[in-house]
Parts: sequence; structure tokens; C-alpha cells
Amino acid sequence: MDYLKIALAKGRIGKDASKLFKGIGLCDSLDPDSRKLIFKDEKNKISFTYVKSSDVITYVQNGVADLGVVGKDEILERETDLYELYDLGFGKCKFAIAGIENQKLYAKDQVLKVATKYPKVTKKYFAARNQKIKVIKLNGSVELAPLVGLADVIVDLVETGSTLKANGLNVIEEMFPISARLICNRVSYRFKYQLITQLLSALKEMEA
Amino acid sequence: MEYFRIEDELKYHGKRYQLEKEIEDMFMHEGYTHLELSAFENLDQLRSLYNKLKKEHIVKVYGGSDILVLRTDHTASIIKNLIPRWEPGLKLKLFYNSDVFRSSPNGEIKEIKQLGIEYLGEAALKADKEVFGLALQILNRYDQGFIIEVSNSKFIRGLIEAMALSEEEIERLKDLIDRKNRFELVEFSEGLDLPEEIRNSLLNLLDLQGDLTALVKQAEQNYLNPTMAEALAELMELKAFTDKLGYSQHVYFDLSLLMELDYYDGLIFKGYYPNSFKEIVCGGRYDSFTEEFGQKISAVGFSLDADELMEKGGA
Repeated sequence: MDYLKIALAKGRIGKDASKLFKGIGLCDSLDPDSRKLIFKDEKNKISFTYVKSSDVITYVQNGVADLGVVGKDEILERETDLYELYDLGFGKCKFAIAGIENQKLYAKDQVLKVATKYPKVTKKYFAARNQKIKVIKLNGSVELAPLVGLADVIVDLVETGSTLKANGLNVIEEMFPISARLICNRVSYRFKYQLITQLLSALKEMEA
Repeated sequence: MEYFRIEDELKYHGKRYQLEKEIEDMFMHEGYTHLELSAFENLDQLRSLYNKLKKEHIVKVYGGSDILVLRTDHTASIIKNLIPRWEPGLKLKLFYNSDVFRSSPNGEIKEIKQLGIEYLGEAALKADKEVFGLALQILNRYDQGFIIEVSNSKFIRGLIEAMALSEEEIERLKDLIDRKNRFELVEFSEGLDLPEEIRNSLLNLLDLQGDLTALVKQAEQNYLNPTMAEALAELMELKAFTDKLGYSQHVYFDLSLLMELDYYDGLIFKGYYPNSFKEIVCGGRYDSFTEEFGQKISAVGFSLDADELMEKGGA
């Protein structure tokens, strides 16, 4: 019988996921700190792969992984055709708009300049509120943008807010909460329905 | 590395042509006639369809003062051409073999080869069985490990009609059902002003898959209106038919199934092969779509993804 293949996002989500899967008795050898990228549980016929978090969706979409564990932020930012089977409850944070403390928001009147790693999420959020914006896509250190005058505000994931605070920024508006999700390939879901529903009920039992 | 040579390419094309011929022969053997379609559509004439498609998926072409689009869907083209001049009592069995075009978010245009049939004007149940039977036969011919997912879209439609929601709410709801996103579905339903029994029926929806007899019983324990009951009755009838053909182990019922194009009203299905991650076949009944072009005609059909079938269908 085929293995159930699960792709995990490297980083904190992957660590929490490894605890969770070990907790329900799967793949003792799973080690997110190892350099090894593939872990197999021969007994339960499950294999785990650690990949970059922005690649989890690509793996699942193309069926090289049946399931994936990834933050909702990645799902929102990408065009996906997947099932979102379960909210794993960890990796909790929020999308938020942040800016320099006590500063007037708009450098110029009409258009708000927003720096972010998440242009799609940002555009959609502001469009729904009829606010004209100019999106500046960055790949990291988004907090810098208002400080160096690249943007008026930023849209980013905020967990504790300490990075913001350290850079003299604060949250202007909380957008919506994010957490880690179990995603599934649509075709795998049908062909491995039994295995996937078993895994889901094990996860639910664990939670209860 | 070794690159693909002309000879290899021609061999591939030869094989694919043969596969297409085989399928066309099956269509013709069942009495379907070939129909040639234009690659262009007028955007205005298919407004209702293109409203349902994501705008960025449509390939637009500007010709003179009209905005044209490259054909995104065969069924819509056929219906738009035939229904306005439909003659009462007519029964048509048609097939097509040509491309549809989709634009992807990064601006790339995809050309997708589709082979498919439409059965128009015949009594619904009879045509459903014939078309579904033919889909099963073709899938089975190229890989006997296939699976086909089946539902009846009246079930979800009936449920949604009972909820009195706005357009945006319906869209959001369908998106959550389509993604089997139970967690957010629960959350979303709590924000809606729904009677208890309808909410329970909605939350139960994602569990309604597997053995049809058990699933019908389960559905009947919750809120059910005549439209939803009709969907269940039609599925029971179809199950009896596929059982008789001996395909029951390939057929999976899933009442939360939704289609990319939202014009279906009745039977819907999607067929897959193991190791392929695309729909090989998808289809269903779309009488109410014909109504948008003037008259309600019994209409059912399916289309096959010829490239994926060629790749994965062990042909």
C-alpha cells in the first residue's frame, strides 16, 4: 500500500507539527532540527518531508505530498485549489496594519503606501474598504519600510508585537487571525480517503 | 542532457492522435455527431458565465470595438449557438474535440485540449445514465484504477435557498464547502442568522460522503426540503444503474462536491486516475443554464482533459 505523504513547513510551524504527529504516535524519528529532509514511518506507512513554508502548497498542489501543514497566511496569499481539512490550532498570529507611533498616516493625501510580504492579502483587504493604496512588495524586514520612508504603513504577521515595538512601530489595525492548517490534495483525498480520515480523527481525539 | 528530438515529438503526437481517434470513435459509435466551434466568444453574450469565472482566468482579445475572449468552455459556446434557435422535440447528441484557453495569474496563457459530449433534449434520467455510463466506460478503458466522484447539485442549491443569504454570503459559503474547510464553515455559519435545523444540515454536509444508502439516511435525519430530497432520489436511481453496470467500487458519492463552473443543476461528476493530479473528466446536467439563452432544454454532458488522459491513462 502507498505511503501517506505529508509536507511540513520548516521553522516554528514544522516544530509544532512534529510534536503533534509524534503525540498521536506517528514517526518517532521525526526531527525538525536534523539536516535530513525526509522521515519515514514504515509501520504506519506515513512519510514526512520538510520544505520551505512557501513551497508546501506547491508540493501538495502537484500531488508529491498528499497533505501539508502550512500557515493560513501562505494559503491566503496564493491561488490554491486544495482542501483545508483542519485548523491545527498552533502557529497562531495576526495579520495587522502597523505604522510609526503617533505619526500622521498619510505622507500625501490620497494614496496610502503599504509595504508588505503579502501583496494579495493587502490589496484585497484595502479594496474591500475602498482605500486606494500602492503596494510595495518586500521580502523581509518589512518594519524598516516606514522608518526609511519607503511606505506609510506595513501589513505583516504579528505575534507578540515585540519586533514592531523594538522599531518604534505599533499596530494600527488588527486584520484577522492566522493559524496552521492541514491542507490536502483533492485527488489524494479521494484515493486515500480512509487513511486521511483516520489521521483526522486521531488529531481530533488528541485535541479533545 | 539529451533534448527531445523531432522524431520523439512526432511519435508522441502520433500516439495522441490515435487516442483521440479511439475516443471519437466511441462517441460516434454511440451516435454523437461532431461539432466545430469558433475559438472566439463575445464577452457580452456570455456575461452570466464569465461572471462566475474568475476574471483573471479569461483570455481577452480586442477586435474592433468588441471585446472578444478566447473560448473558455465548450458547453457555453454550444448552448449559446443552439438554444436560441432550438426546435421543439429536437434531440441532439454532439461531440467536440478542440482547445479551451485559460490565463494564469502570472499572465501565462494555457491551452487545454478537451474532448467531450453534450446530450440535448432527451428525457433527463435516460440521458444522465447514458452520459455517465459513457464517462465510466472511457475512464475504465484507459486505467481501471479510476475513481469518479458524484453528486447532485440540487442538494446544495436546495440547502442554500433555504438560508436566504446575500450573493457575497453564498459565494463565501460555496468557497468554504468547496475547500472542505469545516473549521471556517462553522465560524461563518455562527455569523449567519440561521434556524438551528438548517445550520445542522449545513455542518453535516461535509460528512455526507461514501456509501450512498448510509448517506441518504444521515441526510434524512437533518433538515431536508423537496429540492434536496429530489437530489437524493436522483442519486439513488443513478446508483442502481452503476451497480448494475458493475462499476460500484469506482463510484464515490460526495454531496459537498462543487464544480468550477457554476452552471450545473442536477447530476455532477469528476473522474480521476491514480497518480494524476488533475480531473480527467468532469461533467453534469445544466438545464437551467440553457434557460439563460431563451428556453429550458434538458442538457447533460462531460469533457475529458485529453492531455492528462494521454499522460496518465496508460494508453
